[in-house]
Amino acid sequence: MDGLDLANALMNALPWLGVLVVAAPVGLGAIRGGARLRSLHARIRMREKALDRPVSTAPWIDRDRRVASATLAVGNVVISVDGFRLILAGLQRLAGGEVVGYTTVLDLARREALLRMCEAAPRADAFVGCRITTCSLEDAAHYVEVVVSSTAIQYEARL
Amino acid sequence: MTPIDPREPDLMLTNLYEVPGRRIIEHYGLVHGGTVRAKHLGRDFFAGFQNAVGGELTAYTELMNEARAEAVARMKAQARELGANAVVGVYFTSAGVAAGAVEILAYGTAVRVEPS
Repeated sequence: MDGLDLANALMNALPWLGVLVVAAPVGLGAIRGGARLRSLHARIRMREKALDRPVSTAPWIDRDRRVASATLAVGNVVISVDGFRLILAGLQRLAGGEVVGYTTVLDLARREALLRMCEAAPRADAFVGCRITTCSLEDAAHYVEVVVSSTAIQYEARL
Repeated sequence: MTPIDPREPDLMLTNLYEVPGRRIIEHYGLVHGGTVRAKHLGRDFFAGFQNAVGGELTAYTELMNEARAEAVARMKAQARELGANAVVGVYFTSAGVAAGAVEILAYGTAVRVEPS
């Protein structure tokens, strides 16, 4: 009898579970997503201020200085776009124009990946040949990876 | 940082078409290394929650990092076999090849360099 009650209770709860599965991502995204992004933004800005080494997409920055060492530096971030943003983006896609929710999330991810690349080579004097790639890992899940790679160089000491 | 040293203990990697402070004396051609990684079930479960909230998926960042290191190691092994001491023009690409699996590829040009 107890088992049957439990089964009944479960059956009654099922539709609510469905509602929860759909509503949770949207609600969580709306409530927490924005706050998380804002705090991330603040942290990134602080670390960017501390960054004083030049980063260039060109293969060299100062041709007059002799390079002592060169090595590959990579930084990456995998991010997801929250449920609330997804729905907003869906509506925005219908209207056309810039999908602002995605733009901000990807912008933050790129800046974070760039910072990680710089932090991966703490002794480098400069970063040359910097490249940024963005790719979607899985279409359905909206996971996006951003990779920033460059060549970290150390100059010979000035005489 | 890889020191520029005549003994050359490790392969030098760069995404430029030259190694700063060195001269290319021989080309060995394209080398590449790849790996296909599936997400760990436990990791995936928690990433699902994180996915709902948005923001960084730390477990996946780590997974992609490990996979990239493996791809680089395979590319380096290929380069070493050819007798190279550096790989120039190193690039990374990744793509979802199946549900829950990603391929990470590292490729570049194996070369021999000497101090200029």
